[in-house]
Amino acid sequence: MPASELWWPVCHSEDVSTTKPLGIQLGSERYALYRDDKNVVRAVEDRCPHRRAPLSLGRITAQGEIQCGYHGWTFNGESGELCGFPNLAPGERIPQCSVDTFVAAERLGLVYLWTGKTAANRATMPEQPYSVHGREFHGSVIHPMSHEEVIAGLLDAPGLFLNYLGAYFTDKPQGDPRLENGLLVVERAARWNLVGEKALHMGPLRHRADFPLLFRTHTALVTGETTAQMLDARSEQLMAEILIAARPCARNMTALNWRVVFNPEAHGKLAPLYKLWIARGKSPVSMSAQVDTRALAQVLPGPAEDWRAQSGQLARNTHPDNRIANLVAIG
Amino acid sequence: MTQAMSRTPQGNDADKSSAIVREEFIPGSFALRDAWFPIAHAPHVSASPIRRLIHSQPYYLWREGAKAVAAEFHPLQIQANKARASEFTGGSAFYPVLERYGYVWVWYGNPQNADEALMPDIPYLPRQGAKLSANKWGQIYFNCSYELASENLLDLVHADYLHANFVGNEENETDEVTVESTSETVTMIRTVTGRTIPPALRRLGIPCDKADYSAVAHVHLRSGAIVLYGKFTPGFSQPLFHPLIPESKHLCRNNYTFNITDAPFVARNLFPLFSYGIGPQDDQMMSQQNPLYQAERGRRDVSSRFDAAGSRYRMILAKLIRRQQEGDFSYQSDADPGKDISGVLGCERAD
Repeated sequence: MPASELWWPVCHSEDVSTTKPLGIQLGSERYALYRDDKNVVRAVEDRCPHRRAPLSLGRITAQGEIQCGYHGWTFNGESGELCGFPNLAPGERIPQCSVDTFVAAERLGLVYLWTGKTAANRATMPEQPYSVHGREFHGSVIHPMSHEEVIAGLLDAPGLFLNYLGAYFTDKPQGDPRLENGLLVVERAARWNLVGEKALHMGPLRHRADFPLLFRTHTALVTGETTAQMLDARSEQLMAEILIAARPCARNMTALNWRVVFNPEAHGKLAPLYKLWIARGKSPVSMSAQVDTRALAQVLPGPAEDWRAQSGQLARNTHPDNRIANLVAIG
Repeated sequence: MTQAMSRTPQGNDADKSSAIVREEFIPGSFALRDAWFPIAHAPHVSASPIRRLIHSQPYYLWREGAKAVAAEFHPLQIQANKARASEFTGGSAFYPVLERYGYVWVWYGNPQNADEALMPDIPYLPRQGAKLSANKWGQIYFNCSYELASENLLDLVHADYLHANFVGNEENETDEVTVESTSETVTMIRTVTGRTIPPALRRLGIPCDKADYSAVAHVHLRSGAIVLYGKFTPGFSQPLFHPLIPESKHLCRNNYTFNITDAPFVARNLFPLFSYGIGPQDDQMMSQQNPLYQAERGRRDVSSRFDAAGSRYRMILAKLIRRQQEGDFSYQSDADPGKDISGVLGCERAD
């Protein structure tokens, strides 16, 4: 069981329903998530104690319990206790047994799991600067890279991971990373790209003195949960806020669940174009389904080194023996 | 709560980095204070604000009438943010600013210590500024800390290999490097005889296959301001002001000015454009060096006699860091950044 004293964002709120359990993998652990009859998200170990069938292949009863699809063993998602199974005679004793349960919480359109051994404390969730105040889109991608390398790549080369309509991310970090309320803040110069990326690498544009945009990310240590904003010269947020939840999953791959919200009051050069896209139901900002690994391999170490170091320190300070923390405890 | 990481004297890792710096050269590990920085070419500062950085500290620059202003926040947000103003502006949100030599200079450090006499002397640029054509000044980014780029300038031997196509190769008849220093500056003087002149320079008006060459690099350690002066004989001089603005441990900004006056018209106007060829060549090396210096600990560099200036630079830098870590930000008696250095460079004053 992952024991890191952290809230891990594992999936979108929309992915968890009252009709069908959802199986997810976090590191080497598997969980079944569902909503009970009060619409509360419940998380249990994805393994029936009867014959080890995944509970995520089962169903949800009218009473809000999770039922194994193999033999119908039914469990209370809050306590984990076995409630019964089919074909019991009236008055027949139910075997004493239970599944492990985990505290789940919803925030910002994401479902978080508390993987700590101590009591879950919602106040320890990182305060991410993301709020839904306009049209929101969401999606998921899986990259064949480790969780640590995905977060590092996102910090050192965001342009390889994001499809950001009309924006060009430079290789110029704006100052050193800093810690704010437990989040690593990284800033990078950016500009609108109206001439094509190749042109930006040639001639005077390459030696441009000032950039009109600042791409700022807030990244949680260890989990790598990230919010991003594109800011103009006044440090005012332009058009889109992005929320990215990275989850280490099977075979050393990483699932990215992203959400992006567009500011209806947005201004800036490309605001009309963005509004046109949004009106057509398309998101002008999304996570790339594929990463140019050739380009990524050539990216020099940058702000990600600070994230690795700080994450390693945090992981060691919490549970050095924990498997998930060790996935990223490099620093 | 904002927490600076490992660069400023107040940072949490200050004690740790101090111990490391005493033993080895870790560029980007410490932000030296109390110096003037030529943060922007004067023509770049207009009524429309721009944002620049020194050691991650934001500087918004704009003009009110003809006067240049520098503040921690965008002019429209100063009132709202004034309570967050840092020690770098003494809580006022405004930095000390001067306009000299065609640059807007800002003070990084305790604003009460800002003194115009501490501004570096650049003898070949008019102190009150001059209208130079746009091809004579410009900007190049180096994806490394400013200390590495400063060392690059003190080590002009690298030019024989990396920039041979622009400035000639290593086939010199004699080659001598001498080094002078104060507690704030390092001066490298290189004297070469019988230097092979590459075709590019011959086309620009150096009328021979071989020429003598002298070059002086005068480096101000705190600010990264580097005053360079080279001269081909026969040929022309290359007065190059080469400030390195330390934006972060991963990036510095070179706001250069090339004020060649004694060359034929074509050379005077084309030679400064060499910067756009030479700069990326340097960046190709330094951007790869930078992460190795920041990640590796306990490995020593091997030096030759041609690295004497770089070694001196590291030694004086370590001393300066140590003094600032102990809270001493003063300039010692041997340091006079504003001293006339035309004699050291061997050039004439512009005014």
